[in-house]
Amino acid sequence: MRHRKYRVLLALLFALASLPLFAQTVQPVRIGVSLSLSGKYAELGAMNEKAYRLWERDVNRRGGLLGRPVKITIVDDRSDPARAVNIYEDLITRQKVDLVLGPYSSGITEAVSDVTERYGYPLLTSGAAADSMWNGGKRYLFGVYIPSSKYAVGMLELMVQAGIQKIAVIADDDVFSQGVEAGIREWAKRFELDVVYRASFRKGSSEIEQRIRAARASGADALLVAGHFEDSVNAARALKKIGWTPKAFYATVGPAIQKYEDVLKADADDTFSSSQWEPGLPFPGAHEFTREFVASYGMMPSYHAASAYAAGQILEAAVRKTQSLDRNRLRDALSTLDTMTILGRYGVDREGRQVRHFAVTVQWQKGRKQIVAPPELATAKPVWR
Amino acid sequence: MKQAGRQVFSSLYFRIFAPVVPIVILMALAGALVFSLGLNTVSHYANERIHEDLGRNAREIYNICDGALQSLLFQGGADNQAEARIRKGTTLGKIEEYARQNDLQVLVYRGDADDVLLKHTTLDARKLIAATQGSQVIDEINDQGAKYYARRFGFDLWGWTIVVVKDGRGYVEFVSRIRNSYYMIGAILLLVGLALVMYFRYIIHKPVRSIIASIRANGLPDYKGIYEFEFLSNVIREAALNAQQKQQQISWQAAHDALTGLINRREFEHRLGLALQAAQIERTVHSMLYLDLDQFKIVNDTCGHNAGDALLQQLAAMLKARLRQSDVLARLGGDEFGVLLEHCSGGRALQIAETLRQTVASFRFVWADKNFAVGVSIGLVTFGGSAGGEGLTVADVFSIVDGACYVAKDHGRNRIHVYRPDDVELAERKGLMDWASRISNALAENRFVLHRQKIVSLQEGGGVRYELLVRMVGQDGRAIAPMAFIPAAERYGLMPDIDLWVIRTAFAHYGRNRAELEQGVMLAVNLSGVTLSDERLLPYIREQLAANAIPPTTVCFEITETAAIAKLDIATALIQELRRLGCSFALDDFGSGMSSFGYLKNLAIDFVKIDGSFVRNLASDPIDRAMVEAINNIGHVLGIKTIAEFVETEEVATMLRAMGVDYAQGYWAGRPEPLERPDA
Repeated sequence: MRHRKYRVLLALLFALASLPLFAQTVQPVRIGVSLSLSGKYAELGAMNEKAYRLWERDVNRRGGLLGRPVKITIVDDRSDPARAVNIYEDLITRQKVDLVLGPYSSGITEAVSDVTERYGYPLLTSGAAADSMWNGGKRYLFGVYIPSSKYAVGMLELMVQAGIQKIAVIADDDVFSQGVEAGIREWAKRFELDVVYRASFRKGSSEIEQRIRAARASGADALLVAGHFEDSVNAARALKKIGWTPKAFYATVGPAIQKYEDVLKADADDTFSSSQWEPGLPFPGAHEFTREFVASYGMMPSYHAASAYAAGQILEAAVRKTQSLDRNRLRDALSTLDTMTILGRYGVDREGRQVRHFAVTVQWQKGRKQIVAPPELATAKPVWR
Repeated sequence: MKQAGRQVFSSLYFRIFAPVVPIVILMALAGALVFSLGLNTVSHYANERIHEDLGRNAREIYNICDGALQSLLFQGGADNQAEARIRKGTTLGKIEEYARQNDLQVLVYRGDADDVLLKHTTLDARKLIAATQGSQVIDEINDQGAKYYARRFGFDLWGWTIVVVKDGRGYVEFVSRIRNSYYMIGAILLLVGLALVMYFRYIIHKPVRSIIASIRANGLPDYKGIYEFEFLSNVIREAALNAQQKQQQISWQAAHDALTGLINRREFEHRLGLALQAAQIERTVHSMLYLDLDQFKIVNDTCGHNAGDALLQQLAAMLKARLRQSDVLARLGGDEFGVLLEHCSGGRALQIAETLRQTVASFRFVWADKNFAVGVSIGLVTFGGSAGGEGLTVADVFSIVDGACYVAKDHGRNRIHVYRPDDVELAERKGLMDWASRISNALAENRFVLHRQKIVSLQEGGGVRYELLVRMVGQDGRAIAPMAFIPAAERYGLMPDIDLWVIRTAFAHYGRNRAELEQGVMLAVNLSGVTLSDERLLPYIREQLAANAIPPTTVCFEITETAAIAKLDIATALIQELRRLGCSFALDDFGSGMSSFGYLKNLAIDFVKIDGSFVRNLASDPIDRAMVEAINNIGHVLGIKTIAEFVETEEVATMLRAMGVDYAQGYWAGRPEPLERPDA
């Protein structure tokens, strides 16, 4: 009797053991990515990581890619472009990953795109928006965000409607911020706004305060700051310090995430920003994504998280379309793909620049981030000081 | 060098220029035609496409503007300044996006160049505006080596001027892509051309090579296959065979005598040379015969060359039939034959020679109902082995055997003379060139003497005659018989000089000693056949007669029957001329040759001398007797007096007298005696 019991147990053990054995015979689709898990972009890099993992879980729930499980390898680049370049080189040549996903920040993305271009790996720029990325004629680079030059267009429209005529623009000296600044000037011209002051500053320096003083002196009615999270916080603090309250204060990136309000508290109010995505936007799957994200990580996803998840969705759509992991065929599919993601619509022009997606303009109002433009999606009216 | 150059050129021409160049040129022309036509079409098409593209782009951009304005109006924002500004701004954005999407450059400005609203172009805005002010639908702009096409239009409601610009490089690429494909077509045409050339070369060269190979291997082409080349091969084959035949013929002719078909002297000398070599190396014995026909000249002279040729042919065939297969019979000259008897000793050779001699002697040649007997004199030499003759050359053997043949002739013809190393007579003969110089020297040194032989009358009333005979005196003072030197003198053309010497010397003698002439003695002077045609003769006789005051009536010239017949015209003229002077004429040795009595009639002669061969045996031979009677009778009928030679006995003289022969000459009548005695 005892023997029989053992036998059954043994058979069960074999059966259990054979399951993962069987699963292992199907090679997973390995996707490599470098993220800024530490360093100056650590905050947003973490957002990316969380979203990629969420997509990895979801896609495997849906049956993986071409019936194969998906396994994402994430390596920390410490916010260093040179390190990121080495990581992608290593992922592609040594680890021989099947596909890659994009890192965070325009600077790092632009640096690694040389590597992916060289090896013919399609790269979806889920963490970059600088226009300069599309000046090199790269064939394997595809935008997810609207380009930096179009970030502030919604804000400019709002200002025209509000009767604001004179604006001042200051920009960090990175490629993204410079792209935003160039876009503001171009579109200001189109909307017949007067840019009465414009200047650049070095990241993390005290220059930003000097520039804001100069902007004030120029008689501008509104201040637009092109930069990253820290820049937006520094600008808000500088405004408070010098006691200038322009009719409108706009900053890129920082005010779009919750941390901005966490850091500045009440001082965050009235700050305008552009967001590639907001949790409440009515795109298919966006609501579920937000719910899952909050459930999994206990925090609200920023647009950076949504774009990372969307990148996964886009890649998934391309594989579905081609029924292949052939990178050249995927590249061709990505260049003509027209698909919906939680981020909105995906579609690129002949250079790979995103043209279907659009951003929304947000404003902190009484501790809450409200969508103020476009009017059809607005959750609140803009507040002018 | 020049020849080699021409060959190289013609080979190049055959291999390359003739087949390759025309095809390549044709292909290149066809390629160029297709290329230019194609390119023309392409550039035309590209031009049209530029117009079409720019037109469509302009329309679509206009529609973007139009749509924006319409929706502004529909939404009731037309009077809202801010709304209008925003709408215009977003429209510009859409135009930019459209341009980017369509690979287009665009410039939007208001009023003048200072108010540029949208600049999505690599060109300078001012330059672009300036370039598009004309009335052209499409403006061409050149900037930094690149070509641009621009189309300007206005959206007047907003006061906008919009310029759409297309980079021409797109079209250049398009055109160059098509041009490249035409280059490809051209290259393919050329390749096809070359392949055709190679194919034709193969087709043509293969049979040519085959023909050349078979010529090299067999000397003759033997190609079967393509008709044209087979024909060529056959023609070459025929020509080569013809050439071979001709070559064989030529080499046969070079070694043979055309008339008799026997080998010729050259070939004979060659065979003799081989035999001499064999004699020296292998110590073998060989013999050579030298045959010289007697009386052949008479046949030739009386019946013509055709008869002579026929005689030679018949004799050649007969001689050949008498010889062994291994014996070599050759025709060495006019009537001379040579026989090389290989591996044949002297005794056997003599037998063969005798057979040949009898064959010739018994042969009767018939020509136009005339009948001729021919004789042959044969010289024989044996060399090699015990016969000796080491170190002899071909020329030596010829000289010896030729000399031996002459000795045979001297001994009365129709006989054989065998050379012996101690042969004195032959030793003298051996160098005939020696004779020529000896005679010349004798003439120069006046070492000739005159003898005379009496001719007596057998009938009543006939006078005394003397035949003058010439003798040569050797350097040792010994007299040399005429038979010894006259053949050589005749052969080397010295006979006229001797005859003239006789005339001069005899006339001078009788000019000084006139007594006998005044008693009615007649002088008989011999003229050889060669001398008859000597132009000096007649004036010389006249001059000498006059110079020595010799009455012409006392002089009788004797010419031989054969000489007279051989030069009948000259003889007749000479006889007439000298007879007019008063001289008389005698025909010598009548009956020895194939004489015809007809000559007696035709030649205006006074005397006929009956050949000694008929006279010598007159007493015993009734045929000879009949001959002498016949000649005598016919002579008398024609009014010609007769003289019998070789009268040696009283008996013969009596018979001649009884027959009515007028004169007798010979030992009975008197031996030859010197004209001038030493004491005279």
